[in-house]
Amino acid sequence: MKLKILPPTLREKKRYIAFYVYSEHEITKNDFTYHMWNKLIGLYGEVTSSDVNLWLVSYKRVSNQDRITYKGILKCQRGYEKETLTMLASLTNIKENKLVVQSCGTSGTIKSLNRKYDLL
Amino acid sequence: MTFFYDFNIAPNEEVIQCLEDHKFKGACMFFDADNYDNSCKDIFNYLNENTSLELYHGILISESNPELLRKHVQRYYNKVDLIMVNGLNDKINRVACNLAHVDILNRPYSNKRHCGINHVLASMLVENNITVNIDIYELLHTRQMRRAKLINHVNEMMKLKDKYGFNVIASSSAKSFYDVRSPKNLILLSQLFKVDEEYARKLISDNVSKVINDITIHKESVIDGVRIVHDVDKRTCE
Repeated sequence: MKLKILPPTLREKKRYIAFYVYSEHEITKNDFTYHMWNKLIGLYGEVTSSDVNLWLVSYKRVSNQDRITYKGILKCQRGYEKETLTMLASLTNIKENKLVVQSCGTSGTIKSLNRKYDLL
Repeated sequence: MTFFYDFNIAPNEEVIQCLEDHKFKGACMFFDADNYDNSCKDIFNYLNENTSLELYHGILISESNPELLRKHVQRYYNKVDLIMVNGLNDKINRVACNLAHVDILNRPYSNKRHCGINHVLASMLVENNITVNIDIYELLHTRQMRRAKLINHVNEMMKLKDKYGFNVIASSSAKSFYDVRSPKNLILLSQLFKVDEEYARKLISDNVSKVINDITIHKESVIDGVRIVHDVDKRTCE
């Protein structure tokens, strides 16, 4: 039997963060997620990382002549936006591949984030 | 409105363009003292003409011999806007703090078991008006134990800063596009140290403005204690 969906009052409160990734070479979604988690655990430890509850909602490639660019949306728990943004700012490389992540904004819903930054 | 500065970047067109995109007001390019010649000045002039940023140019001295350090500082004092000395060991840190011509002491905490500054050096920094630079690049490119130690050393230094009141700035030390961080990100990364958001903001704005004021004073000064306050109109002299 399927579990009943939690009522909204009992669900965890979340925030969505829009970001752009500029990289030298291509990065897969799995690689990016793995390195984000690694960085978060490295910076804040396992206990705080469990509270952040990171989830990569969307990750798409954008056409850019200068360098490989991706746009994405990241979900985290409300109150841990600062930790998530710091983690994104501290990403420097995946193996030999240099990259930089620039966060655009934070919002309570994907809809409003998409309206502002056109990420989906 | 707050103006942000990145006061340690490499002379690179891409970096400057990126800083402009991030709406920085100014930056300082540092050339290595060992490879400094007239072509460096030309590179600076070319980059300065093609940007809307307030650009300054400085020299970075990495010397392990105190005598050579003094010589380098004397040689470049009137040639560049800023002189930055890389912190190395206790001897070098002490000599650098004792030289009034030095403007910035770069990461005095590197390769040490302590923050590289004690109560004596802290009062010397205040007396000689020397600023300490925190290298965000180093924070990003170290891991685990080394990063933990680095954060600990900076926190130790911040305690001395609170007591003695010397000036501290933070910079990205960007060498390429991938090293440049936006002001918002620099503030967030600075908060990994024990500083509140307001002071983290000051590290890349107000505190850097103090260094820029010192450059103006340095340019206007004739000898120690004598400074041109304003240009006298020639006609009034006649």
